[in-house]
Amino acid sequence: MTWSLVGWAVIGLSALMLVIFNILFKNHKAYPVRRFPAVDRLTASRAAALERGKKRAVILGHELWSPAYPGLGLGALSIVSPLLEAEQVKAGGQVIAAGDGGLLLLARQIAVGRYRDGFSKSLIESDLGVILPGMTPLSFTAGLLPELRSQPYGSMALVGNVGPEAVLWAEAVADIKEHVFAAAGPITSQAVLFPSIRDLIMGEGVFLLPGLLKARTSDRAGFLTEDILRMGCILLLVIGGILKLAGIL
Amino acid sequence: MKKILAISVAIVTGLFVLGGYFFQDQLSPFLALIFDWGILLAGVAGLIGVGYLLRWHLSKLINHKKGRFHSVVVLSAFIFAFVAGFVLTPQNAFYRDLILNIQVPVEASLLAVLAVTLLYASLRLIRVRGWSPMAIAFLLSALVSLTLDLGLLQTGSDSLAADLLGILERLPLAGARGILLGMALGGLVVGLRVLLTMDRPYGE
Amino acid sequence: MPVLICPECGAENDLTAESCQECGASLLDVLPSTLSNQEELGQDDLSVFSQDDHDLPDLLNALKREDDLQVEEGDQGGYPEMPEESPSEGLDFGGAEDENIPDWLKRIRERASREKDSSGEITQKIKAARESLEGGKDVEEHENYESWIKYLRVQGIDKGAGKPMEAESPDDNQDADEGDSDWLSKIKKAQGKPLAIDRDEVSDREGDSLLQWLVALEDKGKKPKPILEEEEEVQGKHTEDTLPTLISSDQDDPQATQQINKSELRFELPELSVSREEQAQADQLTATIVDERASRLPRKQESRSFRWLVRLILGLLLIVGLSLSLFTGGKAELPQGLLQPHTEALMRWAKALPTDASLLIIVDYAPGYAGELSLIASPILKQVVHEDVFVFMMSSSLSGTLLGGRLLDQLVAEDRVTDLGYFPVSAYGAYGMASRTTSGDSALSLPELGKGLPSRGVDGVLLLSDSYEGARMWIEQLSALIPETPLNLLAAAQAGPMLLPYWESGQVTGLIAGISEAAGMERMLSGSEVVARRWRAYQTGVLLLMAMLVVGVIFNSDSKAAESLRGEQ
Repeated sequence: MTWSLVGWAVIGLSALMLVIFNILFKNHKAYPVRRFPAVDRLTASRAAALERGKKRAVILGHELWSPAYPGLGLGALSIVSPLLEAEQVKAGGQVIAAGDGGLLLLARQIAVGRYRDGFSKSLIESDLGVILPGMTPLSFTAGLLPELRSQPYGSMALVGNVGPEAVLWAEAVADIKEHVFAAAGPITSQAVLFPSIRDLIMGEGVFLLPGLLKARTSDRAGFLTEDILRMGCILLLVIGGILKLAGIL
Repeated sequence: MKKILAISVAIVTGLFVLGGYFFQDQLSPFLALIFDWGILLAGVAGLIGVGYLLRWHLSKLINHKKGRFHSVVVLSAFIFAFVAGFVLTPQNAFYRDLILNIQVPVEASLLAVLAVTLLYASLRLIRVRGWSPMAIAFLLSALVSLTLDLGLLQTGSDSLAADLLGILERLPLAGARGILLGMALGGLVVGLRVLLTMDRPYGE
Repeated sequence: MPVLICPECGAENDLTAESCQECGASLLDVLPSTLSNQEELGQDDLSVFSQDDHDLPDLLNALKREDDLQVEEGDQGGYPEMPEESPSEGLDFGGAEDENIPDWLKRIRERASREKDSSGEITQKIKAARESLEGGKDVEEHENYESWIKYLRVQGIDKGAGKPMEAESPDDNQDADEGDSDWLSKIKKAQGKPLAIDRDEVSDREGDSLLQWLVALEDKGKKPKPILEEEEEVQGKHTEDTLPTLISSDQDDPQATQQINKSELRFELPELSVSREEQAQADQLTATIVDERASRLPRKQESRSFRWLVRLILGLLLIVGLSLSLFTGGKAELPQGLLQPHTEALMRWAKALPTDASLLIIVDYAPGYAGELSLIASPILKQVVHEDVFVFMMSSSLSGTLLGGRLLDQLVAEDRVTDLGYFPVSAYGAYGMASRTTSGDSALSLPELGKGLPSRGVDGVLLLSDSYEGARMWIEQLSALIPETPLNLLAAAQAGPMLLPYWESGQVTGLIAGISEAAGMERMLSGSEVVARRWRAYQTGVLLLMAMLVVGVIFNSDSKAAESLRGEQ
């Protein structure tokens, strides 16, 4: 019995729970989706920005795959589709920024697919609004800031693997009293964004975001699985701490 | 058809990597191949990113969009650095100084702006967050960490005060570890959902 | 249009049909009959009623539909259909046969009279009522029937008065009984409360006897209370806003109708079930609409310039403070408490390194952090990199090769430095680097990466990183692939706290993170003043940050901040 086997057991159990809950929630009452006021304000601000003819920005971060946060890039991509709903696609003005080639390609593919599904006349390749302002975090900042200052942005969503420089982007939009939302992954970015913006989702809430925007059966199954894993982890930590204090471990 | 192909590739690759943990001897050649391909693809994606960046700036220039002066600077600098890199090579000291003497001050300036922004953000902490428990905890932990970082508090090596200071130094670490644990769980579930094709964030 | 009327069920069939399409009875002996236009219209389309019928209340229409459905289905429990033009004919207590009754209705009645159980409870009750009027009927049957009529009246009264309908039977609230047909379910849903019409259980009802009511009609006594409120008595006339009463109030003509004002009718709307998400969406939409309609003051430009002004002042404050500290402070006395155990460990390793060692230096930081990392790394590199040391350098940042070259420029000869190149994806690069080895430098050969660690290994690894994520990746890979090789970290301050557990667990030999720990290191070294000259500036910056936190608490802890936060929430 090694710790790696314990890890594999957890992975296997998680996969089993995902499958079972996915099947159960298709035909029966599903796990309720918890409400985040920050997410509600995000959707409201995007709708308001659309109504006022302002642009909406979604920043997907610097890396598709990060060693420290493996699922963060994919999680960021997952929210592109629910954000690109019919009204947003039809009206145009949606800007998606990514700092990584892989992230850019996949985000562009999703955006093209959504526009095409909506038969949107805004499907002009050059105006699709998926940009790569820079290849490194600070060059990304140098490329993005003029874009944010020159155009009227009504809403900004920061998701994925962003660094501490994200606070500069947030301030550029917050300066004009527009809404900024962040579901940043890395610890450092969470720390710098915390005093700067109100609507900040931290920790594993980042991975909940696609389901909070548009809950599907698989999202609800994922919520319940994560909750069970989290409770199990808490329980193990508490028990381990007690046993350690008692001298058993 | 494209969707099926993408899903199949994702599933097969994921299963190969997972299976390689258990069947290392049998699958190691395939794993090495997959990793090589992965590195290549990442590199190609990086090149595509560079090309996309250049195209964006070119389109701003050609279409006379706002901010095209910045695009002129970017394109000029890129062409110059690209050509000089091929001619002089990165090992050349002149080339190295040329690039770094521009890049380092520019990025350092951005970090300086970041420092000022953080100063301003710390001024507005309560206004943005209100008197919530999180805001108060953030405030106190920031003040304590900064004080400890300055080395203003000095204690004996084996004293109780040293132990207390050690606890205070490690307290933020506990919170950060908790966040990382949660993110690890979230990443695990996201990865499993992609493998089980419950989620296809890589395109539709 | 001539049709064949089935003698069994009364359904209409084509002239060419040999058997009934509904019940299968033989139509060979049936003569075609021609229906009047109105009847045809009424029979062909149950939902197309005449103008009079449109004015009927829903209940009566439902009763009529039940008739039609039961006749079509051959249901023996149905009661006779009422002709479209005289809706009250089915409740005709006048006793006289109407000459306008269609042939099919006559046939049905005949059949009903022949077969005892061919008609349903209601029909039987109607018959019973008639017979009782003629005399000599069981009181109980009358009471059952009259109780049903009473219930209908009460419902109509309640509807007209806007009161909720009374459920007199405990079974009223059961929806979709097995005995209920679709029409009854529909009525129940439309009315909000199920009707108490239950053919299986018609409980005894209280109230006035039907007989008494009928007697009152005949004697022209007290006007029966109409089911529906009546505004004016208009015989045969009704406007778009009125409905005829169910039961006539005219003493002379029991079949005459009265106008009822539609606006006084109150119908109980069915309960809506709204899910939580729908409610949330509706709330959001409402909030958005309210927000859009809310009048707003034009945005004041001063607020934006105010923020810019505050940032400008803070920036100037920072620049002035740091500049004064840098240029006027001189060398500072470094505090003693800054030396950490992990810093000491790294210093010990550096001192113990042989002079002809081979080192692997990994550059994993951005150019923006070059100043900080060079402050931290320069004293260490001066100590470990000698003339006889072989240095292998690799990078996982885009400018890493250039930055590493600058670091080593003055320390070691160019021929003793081997650049292993840049790995685009850090973890993959580490894996690829560790999975193959080379005897020396080699160029990249596509499609495989040809570079790797030297075959004879290295004596130590120095990792220069600006982030926890990058450093963690290298630690995990190197400690698994070359666990015997000492690994030391030189990290930026933001990465330090998160990397400390790796030193505590023994995966990392030593760690220096940030200027404060570099200051502790410099105290151990002699002849180095790099950090000491910048220490005052560092202290000034940190104290300024702490001051801003405190000032922000003092000046922003007013009710306005809390109110604005609550308002936005």
